[in-house]
Amino acid sequence: MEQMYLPLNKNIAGFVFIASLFFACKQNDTPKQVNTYPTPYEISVPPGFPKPELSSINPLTVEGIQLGKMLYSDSILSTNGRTCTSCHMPINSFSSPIFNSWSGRKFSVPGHINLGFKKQYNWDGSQECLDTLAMDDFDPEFFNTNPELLYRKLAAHPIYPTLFNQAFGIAAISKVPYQELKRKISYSIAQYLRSKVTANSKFDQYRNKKALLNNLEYEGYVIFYSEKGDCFHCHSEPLYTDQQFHNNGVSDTYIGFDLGRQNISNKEEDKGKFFTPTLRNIELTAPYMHDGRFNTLEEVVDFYSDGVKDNQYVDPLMTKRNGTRKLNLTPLEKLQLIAFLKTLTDLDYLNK
Amino acid sequence: MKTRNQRLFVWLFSSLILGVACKKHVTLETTKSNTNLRIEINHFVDNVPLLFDSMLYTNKGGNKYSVTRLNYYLSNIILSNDKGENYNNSGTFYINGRSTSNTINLTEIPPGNYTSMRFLIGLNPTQNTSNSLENNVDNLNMAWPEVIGGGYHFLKFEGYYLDSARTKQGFTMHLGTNDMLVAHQSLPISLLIEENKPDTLGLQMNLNEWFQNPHTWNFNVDGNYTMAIPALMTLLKNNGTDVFTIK
Repeated sequence: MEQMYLPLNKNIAGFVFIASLFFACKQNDTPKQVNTYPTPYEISVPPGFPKPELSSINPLTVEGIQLGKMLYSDSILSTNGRTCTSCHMPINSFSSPIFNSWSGRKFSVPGHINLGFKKQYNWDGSQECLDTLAMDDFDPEFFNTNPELLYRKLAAHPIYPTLFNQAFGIAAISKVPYQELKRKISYSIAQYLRSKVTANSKFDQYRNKKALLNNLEYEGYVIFYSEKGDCFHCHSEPLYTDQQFHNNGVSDTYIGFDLGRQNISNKEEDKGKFFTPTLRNIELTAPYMHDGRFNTLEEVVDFYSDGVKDNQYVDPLMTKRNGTRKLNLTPLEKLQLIAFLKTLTDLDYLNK
Repeated sequence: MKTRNQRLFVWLFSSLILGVACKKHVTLETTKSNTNLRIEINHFVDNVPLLFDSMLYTNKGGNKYSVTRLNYYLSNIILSNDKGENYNNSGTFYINGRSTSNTINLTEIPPGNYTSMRFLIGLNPTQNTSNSLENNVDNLNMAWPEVIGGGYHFLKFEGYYLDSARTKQGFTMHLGTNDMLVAHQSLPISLLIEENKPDTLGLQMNLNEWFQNPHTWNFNVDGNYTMAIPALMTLLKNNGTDVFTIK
């Protein structure tokens, strides 16, 4: 990788000399901008949000984000027409309405939403590094990437060679080892995903005193944030996820993917636990639960009200005020809660 | 005239030098070096170190239980010395029972012989408002919703217990809102703070104390959920005033 950047240790004297000339002549000559290094990019953190989880090995740059954004929706990475957006569809808030069953397992696709604030990824937290998250997607079951074809297409592209150079100092794509090329592609996509922030839902606007909730939405807000619905313990504001793993009582049997976090930790107490999904844009990210068993928010609210399983692995937080695992919401309260959930939709995010 | 100007210059220059010299001297005098105290917090059930996720414990009410979560805040730590003077620390400290190490570092404690310590479990009312703490994930997860009072959870103590049918059930002992702030009883300490001699103090929580003294808690009778139920939170609050001892 060293050859991709200007080796600073070898050229430091030259750099200082050139910089001296530049500054010495600055008053007399029109400056020529020499931008050898990419332009740093800083995430605009919305009020109330935690600090983003940035990467020391993959700092955000304008050029890296631009490269990642293009690659995210470009089938140039695959031999089967697939793109990242095949499963992370913008119209579904970068989720998918379709069950994915490659490798013989079914699950719902987690939306790419505010990933820059997360530390763990996938339902079971099997990935802890966003920077390399996309590297597995080159495998046969998804992109089925042909390395030679990828090199040829990228090199012949009118924009990518320049962007790779600007973002990562890659002067010639053909000279980069395949593993390293995949890494840089994954890095750029990670940069793009980190840069994407949703914080402009109707409820955000309500919080910022720029919008009002109607009666149905407001009553739903009260249910969500009180012991009536008791949703806030796991779906804590402003990310609407506590970034922890819980067994929410959706399963009765625990085999295969349903083991959840236990598949990663091998701990009995992690049986059936899954990463709390964000509720931002939840209206757009059906189907719901790790296995996509619910197609509508109505089904989800029915489940939390009356359908939580009664087994020994269910999280204590599923025990409610009445001492049971039931909320016993009325039909009106269910409507109100769903109305509130829909105020978490941010359509602007779909175009980012 | 020239001589007068020279004298004036010498006087001003000397004053400047002295001023700088004096300023440095004052700064040194007011700095208390290394009068720090490290408080190490540990969690026990009676005399046994807490082991999470294990149905090992029995409370005074006869419930067998395990612990899955223990998060709380300590604040307003006050050390009193043998002259009746107090050292007040206005900091708020988040404690996660699952952390391998929970320590609080108190700095710039005036030297003296300290004989007692007291503190709050929770946040005092001036701090206990929504979004008053740094927006990190720990604090955000401790938020107490505004529609039921705002501020932060003072305590999240969760786990499982065996009910009267020996079936595993969950319990969530949560405390929050200003009325439920736990003013822990004063703890006797023997602590000589001297300059350049940082010291360490052990603070030990006995989780079973949350279930006893004065109220003997029985999940089957009192319930397994306290949040926003004033009567139950009051029982928990009153039990919480003596959960810590010095070790």
